Amino acid sequence: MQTEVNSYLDEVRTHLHLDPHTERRVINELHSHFQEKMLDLEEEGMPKEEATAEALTAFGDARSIARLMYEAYSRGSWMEALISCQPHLIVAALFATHVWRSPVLLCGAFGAIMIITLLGWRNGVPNWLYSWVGYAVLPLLILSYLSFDPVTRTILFVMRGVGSPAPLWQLAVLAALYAFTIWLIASATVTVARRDWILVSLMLLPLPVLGIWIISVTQSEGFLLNALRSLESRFSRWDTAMAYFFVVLGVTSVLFIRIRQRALKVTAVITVGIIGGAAAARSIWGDLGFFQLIMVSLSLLLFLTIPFLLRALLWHDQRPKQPLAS
Amino acid sequence: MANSTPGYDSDLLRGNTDSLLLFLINEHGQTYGYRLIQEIEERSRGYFRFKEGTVYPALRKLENDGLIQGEWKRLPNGQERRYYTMTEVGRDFLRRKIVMWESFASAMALVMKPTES
Repeated sequence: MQTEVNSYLDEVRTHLHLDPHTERRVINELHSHFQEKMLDLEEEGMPKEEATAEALTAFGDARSIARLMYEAYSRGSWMEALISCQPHLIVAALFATHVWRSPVLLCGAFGAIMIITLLGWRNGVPNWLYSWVGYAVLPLLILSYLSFDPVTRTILFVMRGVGSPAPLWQLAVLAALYAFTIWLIASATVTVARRDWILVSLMLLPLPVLGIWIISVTQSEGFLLNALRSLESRFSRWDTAMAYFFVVLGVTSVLFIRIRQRALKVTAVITVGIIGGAAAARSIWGDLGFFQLIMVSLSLLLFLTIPFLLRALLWHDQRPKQPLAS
Repeated sequence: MANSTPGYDSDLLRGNTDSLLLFLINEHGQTYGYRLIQEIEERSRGYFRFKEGTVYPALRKLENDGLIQGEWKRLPNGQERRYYTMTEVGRDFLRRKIVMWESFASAMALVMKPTES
């Protein structure tokens, strides 16, 4: 009896996609229902196996119940929606006012984002947090990208005997930085993907466009810090497009919190990620032809659905079973 | 929420589930999901039949809207059960719903009464 009910509850749990606390609450309530229902049926004289089957049939299809539960529980408050869009609006403001070139303001903004993300992560990963995580890991990604030069020099020296290698201590520090960055992103991705892959996509949403922008700025100037030091307006020529893109991301994260249906949440994130990302790439790279635009869109689609593919491959839609509260 | 049954249009029950749940919670002062399911079936003499699992999302939506309040309680046998009570907002909402339903039902009855010719 217990096995069949537990299998049913596990199937509900697999499709719930809610935070662990809410998930436990939902499963406990359903478990309590089954206990009482089966006890009543057995008291009426029904054999145990029959009572279990009857209770499960009367309850309805596990996936449908999980979907209804998700719709009932997943909608966040307006306050959560407001908090979730803040990092997007902060970055939009940095671009709209061109103050991203001020190292103090830039460090202040990203420092605040990192601290809030860390506090949120340690306090049970609330629903609004996912849109913050991508920005919180961005400084580490930028640092890793910008500090690659000594590694390239060393590789060139080892492969071709050209130039001079970077000092060993520098390489060791960089190796530690890369290892930490990869570990941090991988562990955050795995933790979040266990709950729902679309949350990982939401988390990664700003990264492709910021990546394109950073590469373009560094290609123009050779080094991002030079652009930060410079007050020349040529570094700000993409700022308006970037500001619009991040405002759109802010609206998307509000929709994500407020929409009940999971399918609509997925559609909103993927659509905005592809169309917004392609539009921003077109503004930055300029003369993108139709074929190139399609390629950019497909790359964005692949990037945003990697969490889904990973989840399907790694867990085969199975989640670790958790004991029910007695 | 409703299962398709030959007796009525399931949309009709779906649209009135909130009122049924609120009415019963209000009457009991404090009750829980399984009891509500049993009572709807008993009171309607088996007329209202639906997938039992759909009651819990409906209760959650009422809780989200601030119409009811849920609270976990541990029973003497160690089992935990979530009890629901009405809020003041819920009572006002239910009062309005009952008035609306009575007016609607009597208007329907008046219109659908066969004319004497």
